[in-house]
Amino acid sequence: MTFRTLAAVLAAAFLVADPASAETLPGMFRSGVEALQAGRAADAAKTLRDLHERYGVTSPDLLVNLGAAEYEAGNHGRALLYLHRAVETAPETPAAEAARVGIGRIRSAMNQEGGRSEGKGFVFGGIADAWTVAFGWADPAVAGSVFLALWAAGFLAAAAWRLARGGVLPVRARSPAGMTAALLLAAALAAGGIAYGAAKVASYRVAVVTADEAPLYDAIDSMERSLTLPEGAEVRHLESRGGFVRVRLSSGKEGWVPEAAVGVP
Amino acid sequence: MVRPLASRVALAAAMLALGVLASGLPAAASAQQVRVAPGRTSLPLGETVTVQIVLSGRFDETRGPDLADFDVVGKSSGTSVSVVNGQMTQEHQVTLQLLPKRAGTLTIGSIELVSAGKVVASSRPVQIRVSGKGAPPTAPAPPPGAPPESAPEGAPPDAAPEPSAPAPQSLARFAGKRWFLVPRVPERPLYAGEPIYVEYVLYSAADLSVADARLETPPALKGFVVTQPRDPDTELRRVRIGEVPYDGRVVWRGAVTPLEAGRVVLPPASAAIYVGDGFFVQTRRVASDAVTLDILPLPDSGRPADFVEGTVGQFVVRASLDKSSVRVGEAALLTVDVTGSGNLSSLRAPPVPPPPGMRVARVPASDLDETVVDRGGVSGRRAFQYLLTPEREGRFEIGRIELPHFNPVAGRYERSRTEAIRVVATGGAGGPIHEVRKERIVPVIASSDLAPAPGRVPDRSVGREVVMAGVGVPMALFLVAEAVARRRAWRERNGTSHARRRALADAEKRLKSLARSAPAGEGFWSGLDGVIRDFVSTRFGVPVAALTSDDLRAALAAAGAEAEVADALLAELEHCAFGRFAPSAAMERDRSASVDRVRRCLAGLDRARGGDA
Repeated sequence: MTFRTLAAVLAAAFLVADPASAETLPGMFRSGVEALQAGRAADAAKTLRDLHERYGVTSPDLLVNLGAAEYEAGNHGRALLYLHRAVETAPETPAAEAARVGIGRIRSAMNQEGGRSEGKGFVFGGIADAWTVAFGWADPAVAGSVFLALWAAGFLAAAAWRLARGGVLPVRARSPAGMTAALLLAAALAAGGIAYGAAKVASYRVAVVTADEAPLYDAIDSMERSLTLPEGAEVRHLESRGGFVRVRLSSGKEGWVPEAAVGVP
Repeated sequence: MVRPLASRVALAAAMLALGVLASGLPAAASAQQVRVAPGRTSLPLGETVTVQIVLSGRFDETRGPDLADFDVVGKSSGTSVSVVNGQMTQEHQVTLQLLPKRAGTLTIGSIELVSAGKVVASSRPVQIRVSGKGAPPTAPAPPPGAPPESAPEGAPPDAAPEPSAPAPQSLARFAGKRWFLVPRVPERPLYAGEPIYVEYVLYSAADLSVADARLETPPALKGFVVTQPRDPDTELRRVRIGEVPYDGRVVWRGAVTPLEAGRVVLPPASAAIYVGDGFFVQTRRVASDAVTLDILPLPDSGRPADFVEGTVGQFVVRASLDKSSVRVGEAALLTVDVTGSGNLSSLRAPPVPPPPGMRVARVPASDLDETVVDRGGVSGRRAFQYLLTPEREGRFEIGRIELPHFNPVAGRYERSRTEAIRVVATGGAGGPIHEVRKERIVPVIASSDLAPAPGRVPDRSVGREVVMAGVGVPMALFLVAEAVARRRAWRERNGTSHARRRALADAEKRLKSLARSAPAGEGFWSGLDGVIRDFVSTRFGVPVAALTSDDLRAALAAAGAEAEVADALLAELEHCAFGRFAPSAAMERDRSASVDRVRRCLAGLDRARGGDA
C-alpha cells in the first residue's frame, strides 16, 4: 500500500467518523443556540434533543432552549413537554421561570391559531378541574404547615383551657382559652381542607400530546375513538398500562390514549 | 490589450466577492448607497493601494468596477448590521488590494447597484495617479497567463520597487539554464514586523515538457513568523530571459514576518521537476540559493508618541455604531474596522477615550476578523468592538479614533482616523427609539454551564409522617391535660374514701415491716400501737388519741365494727401498752403472734361499713 493510498484511507476514515462524538457538550449546546438564533430551528432542535436524550443532559437551561427550538420548528407538543419538564425538575430556577413564560405564550399562540387538525376549537391550557379552581392557588406545603400550626395551637389552647377549668392551672375561670381554642381549631380545619386540596392538585401529573393528533378511547380495549386530541393538548396523567395512558381532560372526561402519542414530563 | 490570466482570475474573484455579497446577503430596507474609498490616490508603480468598497441598502446585484488597469492581489469582505432609530442597515464591505499595471492616471471604474433591473445607486469612478518611475515591462508582450513580471533589463537602479516581480538582473544570471529555483521577495526596503510575501518559483524553459513540479524541501524559516495561504498558487507564469521564454511555477509561498531588524537569510529550498512525455519521465532536482535580506528597524524619526510597536502596514480605520440613540444604562455597540494590508494580527485595539458620563467596555470580536495571504501580502480586516453605555442623558461625542501605523511601502509613519461619533442618550422613560427586535415566544438562554437539574421535585405537600405527628401530638397533649384535670376532679371528689380504702393496705405494709424487725427491733410495741391507731383514725375518722378505751369501743361500734373485733383491738392496744412499759420475755417472744392478731383485727374492722365513702 503506497503512502498516498494510506493517506486517502485515513482521510476517508476521518470524514466518515461521527463529528458529533468529537464535540463537547457545551460545544453542542452553543451550536444549538447558534442554530436557533440563526433561524435554523430544526437543526437546533436536533442538536439540543441529542444533548438531552442521547447524552442525558438534564439542565433546565437546555430544556428551555429545546422547548424554544421545538416550538420554532413547529413541534408545539414537544415544546410544551420539554418546558414542563424544565419546570418540574427545577421549579425554583430562573430557567423554570422562563419555561413558565414560554408555556403561557405557547398556549396563547396555539389558541390564536385556533387549534390544529381535528382539535379546531380546542382551548389549550393547563389542567383545570374543580380542585384546581378551588385549590390551585394554594401552595400545599404552606397550607399544610399552616394547618399543622393552627391544629397544634388549637389543641394546646384547648388543653390549657381544660387544665384551667379543672383547676390544675392557676387561671381565671372565665379565661378566653376556650374560645381561642375553638377558633384556632376551626381555622385549622379550614386550612387542613385547603392543604388537602392543594396537595391533590400538586399531585397531578401532566401529559402533553406530542403527535399531530391523539385518539382518545373510552376503554383500553375499545376500538372506536371517542375524541381526538390535538397536538399540544395538556391532560392529566392517571396511569400507564399496556402501551396506553389513562388521562383525564379538564372537562372531566377520562379515556386512554396511545403512549406514543403523548409525553409525560 | 491582453489581460494576463492572473489578473483576470483575481478580478473575477473580486467581482465574485461583490456578486456573492449582493445576491447571498439581502440587505435590509434602507437607501441604497455605494462608497469607494481608496487608501491613497497617488503612488509609485509597483506599490499597492487599498480600496475599501461599502455597499448598503437593498439591491439584487452589482455591476463593476472596471479594474482593467490593476491586478487584484488581495481581497477581504465582511458584513455588518446596524440599527439606527429603528432602521436596520446592512452593509457589505469589500477591501481590495490593487497593484497598478502601469504608470499614469488610472481609473477604478464605478460600481452600480441594481435592484429590479434598475440602477439604484452608483459610485463615481476613482482616479489613481501612478508615478512612472517604475516603468512597465518593455520586453516582448508575454503570452496570456504570464504576469507582468518581466521587467525590462537595464532598468534604472533607482527604479521603484516591484514586489511581485523579480528584478531582471536576478533572473538574467540564470540565462541558459533549463530550469532553476529562485525565491522572490519584494525589492524594496523591508522592515521588522512587516509581513513579507515570499514565493519560491521554479522556472523551466518553455519548450520543456514538464509533467509535474513540486517542492521537496521547504525553506527552514527560522526567526520569522510564517503565514501561508490556504490555497496553492497553481497558475503558470511566463517570462523571458533574453530571448528564451520560461514558465514559472510557484512551489512555496507565504508571508514571512521578520521579528527583528538586521541581516536575515532566506534559506534554500529544493524542488523536483518531472520532465517527459508521459511514458518516459525524468526527475530532476533543483535547489535555490539562499537569499540574504536586510531588515530595517522602524525609524525613530517621525514616530508618533502613541505608536504601538508592530503596527506595520497600510491601514484604513472606520467606525460604526449599531444605533445612534440609546436609553440611559443601555449600550450601543461601536465597531472599529481596520482594513488594509500588513501586520493585522499584531494590531491592538485602538483606544476609545470615554467622554464624561459614558462607560466604554471592550467586547471580544475575533470572529469578525478576516485575513487573506496573497501576492499583496497579508490583507483583510480586524474588527474591534466596544460597548458604549451612557450613565446620564445627553449628547455624547466620541472623538476620532486614530491608528498610527508605519507604512513600509512609503517608509514613513502615517495616521488613519475615523470620523467623530455621536450618541444621544435618552431617559429611561423612553425616547425616539424603535429597535427592531423580534420577540421570541420562548426565551432562549444563550449560555449555560449545563448544571444538571436537581431532579424531579418530590410532592410539595407536607409529608404523611409529619402530618400524623402534627395531628397526633397536640391531641395527645390535650388528652393528657384532660386526664390530669379529670384525675384532679376525681381526687377532689373521692379523696377521703380513697384514703380510707387505702388504710388497711398501709397498715399491712407497716405490719410487715414490723414483723421483719420483730426479733430485735426496738420500739416494736409503740410501732404496733401506732399502726392500730392510725388505721382506726384513717378508716373511721375517729381521733383515737383523744379517746378512752370505752369511747373507742363506742366509736367503733358506732362505725359498725363487730364488738368482738373491737374488743380484740382494744386488747391489742392494751397489750402494746404493756409491751412498751413493762416488757416481759414472754411478750417479746410473742411479737410475731401479736402482729398476726393485729392484722386479723384490722381486717375485721375494715369489713365494717363505717367510714366508707
